[in-house]
Amino acid sequence: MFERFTDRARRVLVAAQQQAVEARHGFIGTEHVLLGLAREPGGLAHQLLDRHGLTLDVLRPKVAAAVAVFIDDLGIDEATALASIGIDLERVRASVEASFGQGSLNVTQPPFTPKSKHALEQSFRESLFLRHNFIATEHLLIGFVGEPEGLARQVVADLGVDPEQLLDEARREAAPAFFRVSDLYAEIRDFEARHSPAEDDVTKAALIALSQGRVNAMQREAAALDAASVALASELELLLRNAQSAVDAQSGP
Amino acid sequence: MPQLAGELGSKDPAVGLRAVAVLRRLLEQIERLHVDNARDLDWSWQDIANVLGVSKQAAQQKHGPRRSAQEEGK
Repeated sequence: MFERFTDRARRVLVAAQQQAVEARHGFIGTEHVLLGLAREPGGLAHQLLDRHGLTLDVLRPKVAAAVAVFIDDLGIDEATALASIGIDLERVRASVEASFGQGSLNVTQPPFTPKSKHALEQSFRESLFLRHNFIATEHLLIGFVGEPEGLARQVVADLGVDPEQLLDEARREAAPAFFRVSDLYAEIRDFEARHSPAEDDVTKAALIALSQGRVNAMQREAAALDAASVALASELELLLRNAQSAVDAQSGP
Repeated sequence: MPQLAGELGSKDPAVGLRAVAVLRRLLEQIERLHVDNARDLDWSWQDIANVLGVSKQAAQQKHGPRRSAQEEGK
């Protein structure tokens, strides 16, 4: 799954980890990934957050406050905690690394929380849903801010931004052609509803051509990536226009 | 440091619970390293499970998916 990540999305996850380590939180929650998204410039997610005033400086104190409600900021590092039960982390590390190589033991690397893991899976699903073959910062934003009861979502809402609206914007900007296609389907359905049951032959023929074209398009859409959606959108547009002008010509003078 | 262990083996739940959490992560990582090593040396899941003191199913369920992902990646 990680091979589909863009470089920027990878950097966001690394930044999220750094945020968690610096704050000594001992885990990577949805809120740390939100900070990572705000810290990594140039991506679509960063632009969206920026537009809503959700900058790193604004988010960080909010995240710190939100996390503090859940955990007492213990400030105890891993080595000290293990020493308290008689385990010398450095000695364990030295002997493990002697056999398995440097860096094989990475206990100071905070793990993802279950919510973060779920959000990561959602980012992956979001990318599939939008017919993308990559996972970029916008998919991470949708996954992590979308995570129900996640702190990322809560922090965004606390700062007066509607999380659902943010997700909707991210989706539309991530895959404009994909949404153009669904908007066109809606227009076609509307056209069909307005003209059926058709009484004259021209309108009937237009409706049949339109729905046949739509079925064909839908079959191909299942396999289409976003780039292919651009072609699909213009095809549907043409279908709709042809049907409309056939009916218009009929009812004209 | 081990000599600090006595002083630090406090009754403070914050310290103790944190120690348990880190120990669990440490254990998981070391288990993973050794299971991977055993598989690389062609140990069967049954042999690994015997030494770990768990059922073959438990060992395979826990480590099998990661191993197959690793082997595919090679």
